[in-house]
Amino acid sequence: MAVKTFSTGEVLTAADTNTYLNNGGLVYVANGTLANTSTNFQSCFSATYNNYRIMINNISLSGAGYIYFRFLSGSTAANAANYYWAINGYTSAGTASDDSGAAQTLTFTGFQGGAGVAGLQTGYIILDVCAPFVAQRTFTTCQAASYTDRFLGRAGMCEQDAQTSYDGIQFLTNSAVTMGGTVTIYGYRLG
Amino acid sequence: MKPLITIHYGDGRNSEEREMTDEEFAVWTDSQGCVSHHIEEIIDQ
Repeated sequence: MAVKTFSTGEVLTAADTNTYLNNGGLVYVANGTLANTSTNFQSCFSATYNNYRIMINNISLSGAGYIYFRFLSGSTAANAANYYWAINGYTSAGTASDDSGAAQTLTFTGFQGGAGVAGLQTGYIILDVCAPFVAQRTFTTCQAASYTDRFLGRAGMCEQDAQTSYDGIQFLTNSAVTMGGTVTIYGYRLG
Repeated sequence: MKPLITIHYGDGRNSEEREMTDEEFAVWTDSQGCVSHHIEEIIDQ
């Protein structure tokens, strides 16, 4: 349901504008580019929002690779074996490409790409991170679309089982594969 | 030379790229064992 519906010719007042600004859905928090084999986004989760959407567009990899993530407290990565994931996948060749992990030191976004074709992106990732700043289990739903030697779509969940507050997220690849892409982090406005 | 890490901040600080610290490198190196195992499993499907 819309916050307010305007009629033709109606004046958009400052009060109306503020109503929309105060009740919008996603609010920009931070952005930056993926680079090297590890990229941190620090001080991006706080008590201002409970839940976050992370969009990673225009991904490129220097070779066949995979993109993982883990949470940060300050600059320190949470790397105890507390990560779990369950992700369904399917390829354009009609084959399943499911994946899972338990008690790992990082978690998988579902993204699996090849070096790709020059000038063409390899894919994108969407993460919905539920309450990472709250000292509880942190659940994330993930969606990844990519190209290896065929197109590949995966969607599923990741979980960080430590009941810890995190204020950042780290993306990383397999060794010697560097990554590119644009990351934008939004907060879901509370009310 | 240790690998480079890129850091972006959500609090307005400027982004930076620098060599990993000893601690970051140790964590990164450890994680690669997990990654290698995962890749072997996913390729074997």
